[in-house]
Amino acid sequence: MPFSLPDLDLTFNNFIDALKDIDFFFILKLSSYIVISILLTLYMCRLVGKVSARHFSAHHSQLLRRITFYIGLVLSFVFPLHAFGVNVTALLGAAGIAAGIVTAAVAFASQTSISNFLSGMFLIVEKPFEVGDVVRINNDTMGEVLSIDLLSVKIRTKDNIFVRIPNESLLKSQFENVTRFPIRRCDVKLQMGFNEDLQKLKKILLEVAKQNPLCLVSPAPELSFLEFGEAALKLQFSVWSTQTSFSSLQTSIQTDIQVAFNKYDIKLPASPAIHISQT
Amino acid sequence: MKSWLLEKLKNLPFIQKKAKADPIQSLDEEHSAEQELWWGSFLIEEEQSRFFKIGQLVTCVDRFNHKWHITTYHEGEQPLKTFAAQTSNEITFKPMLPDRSLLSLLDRPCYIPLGETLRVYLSVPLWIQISAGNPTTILDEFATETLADTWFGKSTRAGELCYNNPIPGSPRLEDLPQDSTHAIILVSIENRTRGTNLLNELKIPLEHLSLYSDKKNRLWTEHLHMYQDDSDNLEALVVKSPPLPLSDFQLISPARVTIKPGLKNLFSSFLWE
Repeated sequence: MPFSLPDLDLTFNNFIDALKDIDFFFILKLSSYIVISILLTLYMCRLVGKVSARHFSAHHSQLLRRITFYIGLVLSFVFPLHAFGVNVTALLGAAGIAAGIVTAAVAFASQTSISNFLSGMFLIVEKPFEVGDVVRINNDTMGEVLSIDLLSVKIRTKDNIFVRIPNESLLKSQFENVTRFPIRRCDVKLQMGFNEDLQKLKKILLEVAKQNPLCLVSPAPELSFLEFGEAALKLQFSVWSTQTSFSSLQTSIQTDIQVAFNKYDIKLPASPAIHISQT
Repeated sequence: MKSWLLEKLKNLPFIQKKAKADPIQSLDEEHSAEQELWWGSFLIEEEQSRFFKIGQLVTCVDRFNHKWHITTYHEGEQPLKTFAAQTSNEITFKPMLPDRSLLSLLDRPCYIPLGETLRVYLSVPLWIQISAGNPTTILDEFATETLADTWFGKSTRAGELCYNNPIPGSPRLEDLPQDSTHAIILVSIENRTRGTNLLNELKIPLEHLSLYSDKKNRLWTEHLHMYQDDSDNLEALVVKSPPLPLSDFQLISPARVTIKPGLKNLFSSFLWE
């Protein structure tokens, strides 16, 4: 349909008339109330975060902060509107109905998300790990838990890669929380020649552990005889350390053993095998 | 008993040994070696250095415009530390107790019968705190001797990380090193349980103890009294009292943590139940 100038003029006049009816001062006041409420909410979030960090775990503190934020955000709109005479009940009712319809539609379309959500709930209640713990999933991905959200768990690996694991698959898989307990054992597996003097070897290894400042005195280090291998004796030397110094101990204890073996002229079998495992 | 056997027994050294005097009563007479005084405040002008010898440890402090350099020579030279501090020309050295509990073995495990009290002396390697200015700004705090860590607890799941004391506790004060870098703790352990119990090791809550010096510059903590009540109560009660019946002792550094210390239990029979 061709567009004529008189029509355009009429529409513009209507718009100006409509603007005349609007109370700009009212809108300005309402907006400023909403902005102040949001700022207050952000301040409350920070306060809740600070206080809860002192009394709760990192995960629960994060959860409390988020709940505070969302409740505060809703109230930041509801209270100013109510104060300025807007019928909030009707608005909330309409929003609720709309949200219900949308939720039902979304839920129907995304069963995986619902499953992830429910798995997330189980993870929160069961608490197999918390934010800051180091976990290993399916003997493969290992890293520090950054957040436990409703749909997924976010992990940062040692080589600084961000990994997102859906809650459902996490709940189905086997995972290890390696930092749950304050101290940890480091096992060094050794293969020695059949003619080796095991008493002498034990003395040397215990001295190595004693000299290493990262090894705990108690639980005491110990040398275990695992089995007679085809070409060597299979032994395991176990030392304990705190969680924080475990990685450093893994390297330093092997280096110290190597130095001690050279010093005391202890020969490894023809195909030397020394590897470290984690308990 | 045959007379020749009795005669032989009489000649054995432990029969003829004179009973030791009460160690607390004889402290001033027997162990009166005066220790060198190394703590206190010292003046260092700008662009000047000063060496401090504390036991086997030597610390060099250099003062520059708005910064201090501290180098420690102990078990090899430690790396130089620089501290930015807008301070006066005053530097203060203070002995401190380590910041965590200490686990100390006894020189030999001891059975304590019901109602009896064992008195043990422990020697603790000290830390040194260096602060500058007035009011003071803490610059550095380090151990005169690196102590290994050890775990004290019922299991590897629950317990406490402690320092391991390389010097076992002894009922005789003269068995322990007494120099300017060690403090002495006197601990009385009373068995109020239902029977005889074996004491192997002691966990001393060092962070709750203060440090005092006597008139001969020897360093002491409060006297600790530990009571194990009964088998139903695994908590041992720890009570502090002034260092000793020593005269002229003065407070050198207050406890790091001021709340009342608690202790899980004293006897291994309770510990591993």
